[in-house]
Amino acid sequence: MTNPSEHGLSAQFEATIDNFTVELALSIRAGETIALLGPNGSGKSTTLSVLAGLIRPTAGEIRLGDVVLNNVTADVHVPTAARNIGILFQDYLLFDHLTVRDNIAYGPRAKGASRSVAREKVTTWLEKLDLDSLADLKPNQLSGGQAQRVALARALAGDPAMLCLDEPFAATDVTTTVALRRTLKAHLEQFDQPTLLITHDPADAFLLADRIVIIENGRAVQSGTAQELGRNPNSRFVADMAGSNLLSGHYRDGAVTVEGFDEPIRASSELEDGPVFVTISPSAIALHTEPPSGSPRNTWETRIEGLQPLGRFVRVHLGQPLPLLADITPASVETMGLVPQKRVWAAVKATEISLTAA
Amino acid sequence: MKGISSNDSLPPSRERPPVVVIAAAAVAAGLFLLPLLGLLIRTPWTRLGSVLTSDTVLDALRISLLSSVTAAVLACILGVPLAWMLSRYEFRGRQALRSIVTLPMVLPPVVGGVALGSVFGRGGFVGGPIESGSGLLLQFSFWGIVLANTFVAMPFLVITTEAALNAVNRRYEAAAATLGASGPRVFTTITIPSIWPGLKAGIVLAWARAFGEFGATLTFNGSLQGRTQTMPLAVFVELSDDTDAAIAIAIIMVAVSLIVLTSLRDRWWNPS
Amino acid sequence: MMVTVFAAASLTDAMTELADEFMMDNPGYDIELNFGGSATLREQLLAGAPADVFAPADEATMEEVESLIAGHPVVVATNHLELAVPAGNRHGVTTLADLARDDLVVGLCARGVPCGDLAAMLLDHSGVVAAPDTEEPNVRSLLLKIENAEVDVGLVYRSDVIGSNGSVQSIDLHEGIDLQNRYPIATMDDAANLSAATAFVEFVASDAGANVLETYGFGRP
Repeated sequence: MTNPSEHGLSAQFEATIDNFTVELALSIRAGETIALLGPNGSGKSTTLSVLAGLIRPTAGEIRLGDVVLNNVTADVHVPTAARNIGILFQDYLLFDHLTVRDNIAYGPRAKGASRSVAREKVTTWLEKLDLDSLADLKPNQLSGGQAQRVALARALAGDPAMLCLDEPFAATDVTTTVALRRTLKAHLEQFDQPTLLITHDPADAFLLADRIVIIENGRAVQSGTAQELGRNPNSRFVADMAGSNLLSGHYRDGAVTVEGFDEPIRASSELEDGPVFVTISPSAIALHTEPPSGSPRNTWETRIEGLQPLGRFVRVHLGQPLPLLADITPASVETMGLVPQKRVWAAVKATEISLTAA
Repeated sequence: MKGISSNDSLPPSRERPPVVVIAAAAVAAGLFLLPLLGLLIRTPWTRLGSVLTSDTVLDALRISLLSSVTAAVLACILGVPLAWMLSRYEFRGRQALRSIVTLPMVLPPVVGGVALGSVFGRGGFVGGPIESGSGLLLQFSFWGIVLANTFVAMPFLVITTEAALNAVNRRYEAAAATLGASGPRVFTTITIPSIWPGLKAGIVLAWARAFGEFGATLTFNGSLQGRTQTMPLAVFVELSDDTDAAIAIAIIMVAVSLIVLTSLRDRWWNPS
Repeated sequence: MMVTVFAAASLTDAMTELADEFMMDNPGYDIELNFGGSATLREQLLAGAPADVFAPADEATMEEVESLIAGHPVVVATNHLELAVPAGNRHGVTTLADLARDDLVVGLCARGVPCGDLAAMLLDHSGVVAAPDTEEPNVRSLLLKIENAEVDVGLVYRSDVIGSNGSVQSIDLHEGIDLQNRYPIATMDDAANLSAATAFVEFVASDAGANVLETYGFGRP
């Protein structure tokens, strides 16, 4: 296994801005995507600024590959221009007075590439992100989605040693987000450097990141895969953050097929056939000790893996074949005698299943 | 949201402006147009040709154009860094420096000339030693005009440029830095294009002020045809002798100014 | 009773004292003085500026406003040019010929200005070709530069040298004393109070007036 500090980002720092302190440790391997997930004001932008070199940390060390970017005790601070971290900004920050082509060429040229080398890179990236027809347009002539692709191309054209995505879908509408997420996922898979995704939307983290770090009030409160977090939230906040049941599958003829589950799940949607995200609120899943009869619902047999009292309700962790969370009132838990390992039937109405195109 | 200077502004209104606004604007326009009209009425059109080709005017025009353009360039070279310092850095005395920079705008030009003389004049604490040491004389020379012109014109450039720098969205500069651009590169490729309208206005104002400068250069450089007599000085001297000729020279000045100012609105000045 | 007097700049000190004396002797009179270059004043009068008395620095200027004056002008003073140098005469200036020296900063009045026209005549008459570094549009600004030692030698009026309080010294010119400006004074046709204006003019033209003018370096006509 590769030593994380040889390859990728290894950061442990403390930074204060306007009386707000962020204390964070982040470790991202090459090719890995980590999501920094948290509400507004939790310290995400401060973290981005520290990594970019725009703010100096007050303590700690940041290494990227072999290079020490910051070391407060040794008074090392590599200036922004030398850090080679590509950033896709929330508001894109495309240079208005330059064409798409020149925007993309900006990084390579700034780093000393000759015009011909830069031109080659531009051509490559225009193709990769399907921007050929837009090459000579100015940013104010682009749509939101197009602008984001240009911003991504610009960040990557400079061959950065790390990529930071700052709330990539904050400025786009729902339809564009769907297409963009797909595009982004494809590119991140090809990108062999560490990537940090900063977002407040769990769906982004779920789809794009290998691991999630949850940040709240300037500190990491938990980290792990989406499943791990969902299973063992160590706070109400994390539970809320990661508590939605999110699956991916394929929609066809009014039903979704999810991997690992034989039966298609019936769901009503106007979507066209295609890949989808399935969201089921934990409170929409009903549990029965006997196979339920009656109204057409999706039902399946499963086993309780764990119970998590969370105050007003108990979060029941269901196991195979569909590992989901169901929120049940404590009274019902007692009435039904729910305990770990007990076999139960889960049911959820088709109308309670929401689908979004993936 | 995207864009350095948001040009997502509304198109010009097709509605009629309120009457009060039209009235005030008409008076303002009149204040500019009527004196020009008065000059045009008094212009001795038949003599215009001979006045324009006279040695006096040709010399004065050459000196005025050369010195004003040189002063505008100098104002740029010195003024932009100063505007940068005032805009981007906190230092003690910043507010005081800002006030001092506007002083030449407030002082009567003649007072400015006296001030320049006290430093760079033959008896001045800089000019004196320089003359004793090298024989070089700034006063009564073409470069003395450039100095006086730069002194009165630079404040305009510093003020408009500082305002433009303050209005820049610094995030674009940060974005450029993350792409690997060094400080100077960010300045030339991002900052300057972003402040260009303000900078351009400053350069034009500085040039215009230098072109019309009279009091400071008269006090500091005197007036000698072919060497230090600028167009405004030629008008003034001619006024004692041949008023018609003075008006003719004045009209020529107006024409030259109009040509320069309107040509500065051309496409090739604009980067986009 | 107000009397507005337009007077040449070179008469500033003398005319101020004349006005003060007149007002002291004649309470009820208020003399308003407006000084400027003779040509500038002439332009203002031709444009219709209200004045009661005009006192330019030469007869040629007075002739140009002939149509505006009442009666005939009276010459009340004369002035001639002198070589002026900063106090101490560091460069050893002695004659008109020094005006041709390249190593000195030489100042003259511009032509069209009474002092300049007189200087041109003087130089012509004596055959000296001056090498001026500046031709000032009015005599006061030339004098100021000599006082500040910015100009090493110039041709200014004797009255200016007298009035400079020691920071300018003059070199006697033996040639050209005959070349002088004659200062006329006249009342204006449209004077608000012709008799008051005339009274003042008469005072200036009197012996008492001439005495005051003499103390300021002007010659008697």
